[in-house]
This record gives sequence, structure tokens and C-alpha cells, in this order.
Amino acid sequence: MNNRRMRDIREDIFFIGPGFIIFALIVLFSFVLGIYYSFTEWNGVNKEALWVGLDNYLQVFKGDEQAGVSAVFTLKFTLASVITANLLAFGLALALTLPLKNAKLMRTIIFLPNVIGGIILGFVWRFIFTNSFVSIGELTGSWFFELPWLGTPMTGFWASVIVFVWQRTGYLMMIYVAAIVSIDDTLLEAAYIDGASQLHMLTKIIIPLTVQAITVCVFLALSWTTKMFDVIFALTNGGPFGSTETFAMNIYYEAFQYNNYGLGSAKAILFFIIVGFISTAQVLTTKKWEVEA
Amino acid sequence: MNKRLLTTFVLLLVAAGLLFAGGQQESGAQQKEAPAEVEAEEVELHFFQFKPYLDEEYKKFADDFEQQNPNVTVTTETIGGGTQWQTILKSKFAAGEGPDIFPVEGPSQYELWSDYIADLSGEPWVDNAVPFALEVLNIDGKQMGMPVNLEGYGYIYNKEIFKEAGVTKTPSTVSELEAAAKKIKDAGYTPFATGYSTWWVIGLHLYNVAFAQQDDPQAFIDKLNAGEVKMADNTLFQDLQNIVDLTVEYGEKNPLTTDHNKQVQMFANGTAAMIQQGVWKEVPIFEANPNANVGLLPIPLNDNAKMDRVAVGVPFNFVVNKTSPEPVQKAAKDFLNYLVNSKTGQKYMTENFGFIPAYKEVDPQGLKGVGKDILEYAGQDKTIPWVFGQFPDGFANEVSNNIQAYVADRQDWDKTLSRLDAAWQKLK
Repeated sequence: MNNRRMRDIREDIFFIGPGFIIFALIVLFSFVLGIYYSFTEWNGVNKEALWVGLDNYLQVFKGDEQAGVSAVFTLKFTLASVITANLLAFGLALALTLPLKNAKLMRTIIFLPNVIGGIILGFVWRFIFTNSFVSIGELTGSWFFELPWLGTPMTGFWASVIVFVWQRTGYLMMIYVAAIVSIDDTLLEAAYIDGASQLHMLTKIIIPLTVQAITVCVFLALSWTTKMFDVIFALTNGGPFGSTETFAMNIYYEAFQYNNYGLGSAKAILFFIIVGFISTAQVLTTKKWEVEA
Repeated sequence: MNKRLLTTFVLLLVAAGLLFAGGQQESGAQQKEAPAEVEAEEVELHFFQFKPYLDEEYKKFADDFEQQNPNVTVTTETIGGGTQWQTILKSKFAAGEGPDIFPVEGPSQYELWSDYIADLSGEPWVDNAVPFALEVLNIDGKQMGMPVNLEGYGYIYNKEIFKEAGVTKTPSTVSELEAAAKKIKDAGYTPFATGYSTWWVIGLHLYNVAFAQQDDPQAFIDKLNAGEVKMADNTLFQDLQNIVDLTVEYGEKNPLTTDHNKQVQMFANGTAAMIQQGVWKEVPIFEANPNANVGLLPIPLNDNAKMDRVAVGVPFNFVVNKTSPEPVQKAAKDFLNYLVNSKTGQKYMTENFGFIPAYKEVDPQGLKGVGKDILEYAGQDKTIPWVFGQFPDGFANEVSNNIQAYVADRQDWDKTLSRLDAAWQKLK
């Protein structure tokens, strides 16, 4: 009996061990260290960090205007992007599971932006917004292209949403495609024979049976958008006047540009708690909607 | 089952901890072994610089140095562009792999790295350097960094467009600049490509002018730090509004959408007549248009005759890591001395790097329009210093955000200055 338990534990260590050790070294260790630094005043370079207790946390709540601006931006960006990307992904998934001729090719093409690194993508889109859009605007006189892209908080915001949606929709779409394909055809056939309309089939069969995928996709999109850094860093660098700065960027600037590593860590810890709370709430809610066929 | 998993994780956590502790001990042991290298005389020098376009040239120079010093192996590492190189430098030091030579841009950065910077007073090059270049990192009478070159900035202008528009006298006051801009606009060109979406164009260079034009910039900064003066009460900072308004009025359509690359693009293809940039942009300008005929104008704030001065400064200093082993520090000092104090090094500086040397009696060659104009202004003593190296960390960011907000009509100039006063007090 005891021997058997030992063997089980050995097996666990063998299979979970390597991954866990890497996780512990890279994530857990940094996380614990981050908690420690959040209670210190440190510029990120000096050999000693000064213990200041809760000062950093108090400072975040006391008049850090830019942190507030970036928190609001992140919230708005998350809402707009999660909704747009998921609606679009679901729509595309519906369309591309129809018996179309080039459906597979089109899925691949829509998925492609995912494999481009965020920084490069940000720079490419920066060029598109500030050069290509301007040229198209001059040629066509279309108001959409003549907007001062990236030059106002409004255009900066929507540019960020557009680029995010363009980049991630394909990935979400793949998950939805998999979920839709796995729906038992007999259910749809039976509904069809019973005279259900397309809309009814969508709302009463397809959506309820893909709620699991919706849970996953909304969760993924939430975690991408709340932690958004690379694309917007390259796209707008937070400009104009800090209006498109995400909270993750605010943390980075605080720690590495303003050289307040302790304050940056405190923000990061608070950020972790908030994001964890939102994600848990979301997963719990959508879990409730899930049904088995 | 749960208990079993828990046991596993606890065991693994302990194992990870041991592994980590092991790793740290190892690096400790390595540090202790370092002095053994003294006898071997083999020295590995880790040289870190931040100008990507000079990577190849620095490597060639390092090869030359290795030939002179066979016991030294130089590893040149180049990471540059914006501010990111500093973040990388920080992580290198955090990992215990800090380079032996690295750049420091000014006094604020010196503060940051002061735990690691060796005293270079008494090095042979000190006597040959231009005195004001030495001042930047002369801390309490000790020379902590080695200046290499001088850089200058202002409005780079297209001489052909000026001629075509009938601007004969180079403008040096706000009124003259406005008159010139008007003529240029009438001739069908965009007078300015502002580049106001790039933080350092505004936050470092433009804002620096209001500091540097003070009668005693250093005294002004000291008083600002002591809270005795306010930027909002100072006429030069109030006058800065003139030049911002002028460049926006006579600038491209959406100033907040143009960055420094777009500036160069608009300038090199001949649509814009002036860009607020420095000598470092000459390389891409001539790459895009080898026949460019360019010069440099000062950035005026009002109509005072004192405005006819361009900002010339020391963009960075090389410093030696004092936590490196003694023989490596020695090699690092030799390396730096070889760069600025030997015929070979000086040839590299002027011909290969295209630098304006910060050293007396070094003949600057390979200079083009902007570089020549900088030398000319310097020769007539018509320069103002670079003081943005003394801005508190993050202040340039605040400047950029606030002036952008002013350009976007989000706040008036008084509000801009009072917010910047508050930012300085908070960040200093």
C-alpha cells in the first residue's frame, strides 16, 4: 500500500516535475520576488532596496492620474475588443463551417495574423495608419481614411481595437469552428425537419451547444486584452498624450522609465488581483450557461 | 488523490528551491575564481553600445584593439533604439552579466548606475577633451565618464526650398522664422514636419531649449529642484508657446500623427522644408536622398538676439563597470583611451563613425551640411547646452504628454506649464 503510494508520487514527479520546475523558476519565483519589491523603494539597479511597507500601495490610490487614465483605457479597450473579436469570430466560424468551396483556405488565411509577433505587427499597422491610410484618403476623399489616425485619443483607441481584432479573431474563430463542427448533425437535422427556422436553430441549438467554446474564447480574449502590451506599445506607444496607455504599459513605464521599481511592482500586484477577479467571475458565469447535448 | 498531488507539489517546490539556491552558489563561486585570471593575463572585455548603425564599425575597431592587445578578447554588443536598451542593461546587471563598458547619457542616468561606475579621473584623454564635454559626468570633481562626440540639433532645413521660396537670410528669431515659413508655404511646400508624436522630439529636444537659453541653466535647475522657481513664471518657458504655435500652424496637417521617421521621410522627399532634428538624422536623410542640400537653424523662442544659438551637447559618456575584476577594468580603460586618444581610434571616430569629436586637435572629417553648421556655430561660441540629461526620470514623458495635449487643444499653455511644474516636483 505504502509502496504503491510512493510509486504514484514518483510518477507524478516524473510527469509534472519538469514543467513545474520551469514554471516555479520563471513564474512563481518572479511573482514572489515582485510581492517583496512592491513593499520596497528601489530604482531597479541599486544593490539595496529600501523597505517602505505599504507606501507604494497607498501611492497608487493617492493621485496617480496616469494610472487612472490607463486603467480606464484598458477597461474600455477590453470591453470593445472582447465583444467585437468574439462576435466577428463566431460569425466567421458560422460562415466557414458552411459547405463552401474554399472554406479551409479562408480559415487558414484568417488565422495567419496570429503567427506574427506583436511588436512587428504594431509597427506594420503604425505604418498603415500613418502612411497608407493618408494616401488612400487623399485618393478617395473618404472621411474614414482622412481621420487623423493615431493622432487623437479616439482614433488611437479604435486603431488599437482594429489591430487587436485583426490579430486575434482568427484564433478565436478556430475554437468556434471546432465547437460548431462537433455539434451532432442529427440534432440540426431533426430541428430542420420539425420546421425550425435558421434563427431558431442558431439560438436554440448552436449557441447553447457552443457555450463551452464561448467560455474559453471570452476568457482568452479577456486575458489578452487586459494584459495588452506589445501591439499597442509599438502602435501608439501610449500616445497621443498617454491616452492609449494600457495598464500593463503603465506598469512598465513606472518600473523602467520612471525607475520606480517598487511602485511598479505594487501596481503589478494590484493588477494581478483585479485581472484574477474579473477572469474568475467571467468563467464562473459562463460555466453556468453550459449545457450538455 | 488531492493529498498525493499536494505532496508532489511540495516536493517539487523544494526541489526548485534547491536548484535555485544551487545556481546562486555557483555564480558566487565564479566571482571568487575571477582573480585567478590575473595570472593567465587572458582578459575578456564585454563592450556594450547603443547605436545600431555603428555596430559593424565598432566591431572593426575592437578587432584593431585586439591586435594591439593580444591578451584581450572584446565582445561587442549593440542594443539600441529608444529607451529599451536601458531596460536590457538593467536585466543584464540583475542577472550578474553587466558589461564592462556601457553608455550613460547624463547625470540622471549616472545617479541610477552610480553603484557600478568607476572613477576615470587621471586617464590620459582627460587633458585632450573639450572642457564643456567633460563637465557632464564630472561628479564632485571626479571624472566618472568619457565623452566621445558632440551632437547638435535644431531645425534641419532644405537649402533648395529656402532659395526657391526666396528666403535669403537664415532666420534666427521667431519673427524671422515665421516670415520664412510664410514664404515657404506660399511657394507650395509644408514649412515644418513637426514629428510631435515622438516623445523625445518634444520631451527632450524642444523643451531643452527653454532651459538652455536661461542665463545660467544649471542655477535654474538647482532652483527648480529647491522649489524656488517655477517654469510657469519664467518668460522663456512662456515664450516656448510661440514656437509650438508656429510649428503647428505652419506644420503638416495632423502633427500628432507624424513621428520622427515620417519627419525624415517628408524632409527627404522634399515636401517639408524644416524638421526639428539633429545631426543623427543626416545618415537616413542622405540615404534617402544623396543630393540633399541641408543646413541647421537654431530653435528660437522669441525675438531676442540670443536665440541665434544651437543646442550642442554630449549625447552619452562611456563608463567602466567598477564591479568588474581589476584586470578587466584596466583593459576597459585602455580600450576607451585607444578609442579617443590614438590615431587609429580618432580615424574611426571621424571617418567611420562620422562623429564630431569631443576632443581638441582631432580633425573632423566626413562632416556634411548639418555637422559643418554645428561646428561653425561652436566655433563662434553660439551654442546652448543639453540639459535634458538632468531631467528627473520620466519628466520628458510628462513634457511630451502635456505638450501633445496642448497641441490637441486639450489644455492651454498656462495649464501645461503648471502641470509640468507639478510633475517636476513629484519626480525629482
